[in-house]
Amino acid sequence: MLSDLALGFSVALTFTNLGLCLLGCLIGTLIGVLPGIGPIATVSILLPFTFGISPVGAIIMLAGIYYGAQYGGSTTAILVRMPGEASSIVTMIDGHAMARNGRAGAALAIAALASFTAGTIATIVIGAFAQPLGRVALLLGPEDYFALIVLGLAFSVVLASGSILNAVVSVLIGVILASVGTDVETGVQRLTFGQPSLLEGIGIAVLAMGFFGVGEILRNLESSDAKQAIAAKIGRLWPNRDEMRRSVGPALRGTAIGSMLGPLPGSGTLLAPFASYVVEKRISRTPERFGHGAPEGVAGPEAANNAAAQTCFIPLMALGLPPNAVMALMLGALTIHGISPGPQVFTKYPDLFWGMVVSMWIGNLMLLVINLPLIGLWVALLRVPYRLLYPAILLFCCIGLYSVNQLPADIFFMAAFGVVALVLAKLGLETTPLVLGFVLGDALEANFRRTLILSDGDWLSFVRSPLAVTLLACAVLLVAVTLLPRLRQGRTEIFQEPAS
Amino acid sequence: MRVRSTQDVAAGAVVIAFAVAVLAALSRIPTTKYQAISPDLFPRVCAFGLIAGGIALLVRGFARAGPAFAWAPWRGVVLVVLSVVLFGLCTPRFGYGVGAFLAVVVAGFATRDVKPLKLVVFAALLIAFSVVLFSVVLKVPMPAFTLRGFGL
Repeated sequence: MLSDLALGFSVALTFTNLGLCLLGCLIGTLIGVLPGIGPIATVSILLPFTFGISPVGAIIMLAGIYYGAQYGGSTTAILVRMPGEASSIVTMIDGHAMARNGRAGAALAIAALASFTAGTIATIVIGAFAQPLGRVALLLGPEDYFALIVLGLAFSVVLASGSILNAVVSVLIGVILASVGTDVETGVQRLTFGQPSLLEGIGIAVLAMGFFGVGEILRNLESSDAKQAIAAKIGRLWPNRDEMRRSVGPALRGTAIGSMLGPLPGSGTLLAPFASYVVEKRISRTPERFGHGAPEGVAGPEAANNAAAQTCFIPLMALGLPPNAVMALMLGALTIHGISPGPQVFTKYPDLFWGMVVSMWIGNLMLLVINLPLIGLWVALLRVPYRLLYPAILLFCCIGLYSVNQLPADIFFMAAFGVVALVLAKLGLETTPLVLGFVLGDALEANFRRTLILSDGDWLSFVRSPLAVTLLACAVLLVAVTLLPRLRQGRTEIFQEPAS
Repeated sequence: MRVRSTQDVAAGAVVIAFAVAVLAALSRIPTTKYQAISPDLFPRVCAFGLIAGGIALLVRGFARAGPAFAWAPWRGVVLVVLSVVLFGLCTPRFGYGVGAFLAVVVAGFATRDVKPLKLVVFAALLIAFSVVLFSVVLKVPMPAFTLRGFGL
């Protein structure tokens, strides 16, 4: 592994790649700070502009945007009680309480240091686990892959915050949307309604910008009571000894929780901070301090979301299966450069993989520097009112998408998906499981058909391999167990406890 | 029987309608003989699953109290969608600079606290920034201003 890391450093430390890493981290922090635009929309907007640079550079920059956003989101959560990203909602509770107690600087420093610790450990976790997982993946047959994806979708259903039934329906809609386009095996057009722009299927960039760019704006306009940000005074930046002592344990436990939840399909970065907060509160000897500015409630969740944001690269790189929408966009970026992630990535493109891993660590170091001294600048950005922000977001979505194919139809579909996202929200159907169904739909169907073709249409072949049976049983068990009344209550509690 | 969650009932109805439309579209795909797996099999299986889910949502909407369905404020939706559509219509003919300007101005009216003059100035500044960023710095091969389709 040492020689691999050395290779990684030699790739990541080139001038261009360092520059791209810094650029990614800066953009990530920026959109993390700004509410109303998240990493999904940003990565899709910037996707076309990475075509001109090397694949390693592209992935380094896009990854920087993703984990940089997790840092930026916590800054606004602590200072102005406004989570820039959904994953920093938990940080808001104790982080903002600390800010009200005059410990804003300390809270920011704890958040940054915990994130940095988590980022460093997560980098090692990726380096250590991705390759062995890739080797295992080579032994899997199509029925095992099918079962694995079903298990992944089951996780996304269980981890969704709303009702299980709604999440299942969302996943199915996503899978059906993925099957639109020309069938790869027979050349037959499916669900294209004669539209030439649908022949190649619905692009992930069109769907992502529609849902998370336009759709998000439509939803925000509804509740656009101009929230004026009133920033707390930052005060002394360094935490005192007691705060440091209290933060170490939670940061390490948060890293462990985040590293475990990150690779799971669905909302790993969303769930990890919640889980960490609940754990810290349970094991604390003084749980009553939580919600009133406990540093444990900042360190744990911050470490957890940052670790998860990095370990979610493991399934993408090792299995070629993206666990969330941003990873699906990364998959798209790599595919455009002619690289298909999967077990062979480690042997065919070791410079890409290890360069990315090392750049993550460097990026975390950069974020520490970007975030702490420049905090005033980021807070000043919050004064940009939403009425100026959303036309700009809309504009960048339009130009970004149009520059890909220069097809007006893409723009119209983006608008249509924005409306669809709004309608789904009104109907109580979450977009996260839908997008995951869409993202995994192609692989799910390909392996479904491969299994049936290899066995000449024998449906029992799905349960012939012991591994496939185990995985499918796990999927069924997972959903069934969540439906049990006692656990169901526990699940609702996890999602609501930090909020109350 | 009384509707106890209009949101669930509406969701169930929409989901079933969507699944039926998918099934109808799939039925037009010619199925060939001697083919182990027809290309419409997988989406068909999913559509049937969706119908089952839709029925379950309907049942739950009648059986259990839940959230009510609420309409979205139409002004914002119409203007934002219109602005994106305008961008799509104008950009191929006049270049993205013109399309983007119209899009920003129209979208700007989606909120109530709009200040028209400031909005136009803001849109012009934004376009200048985009042209510098996309055409000058990133050199995206896409005309910012052009006239096409007028015999010019």
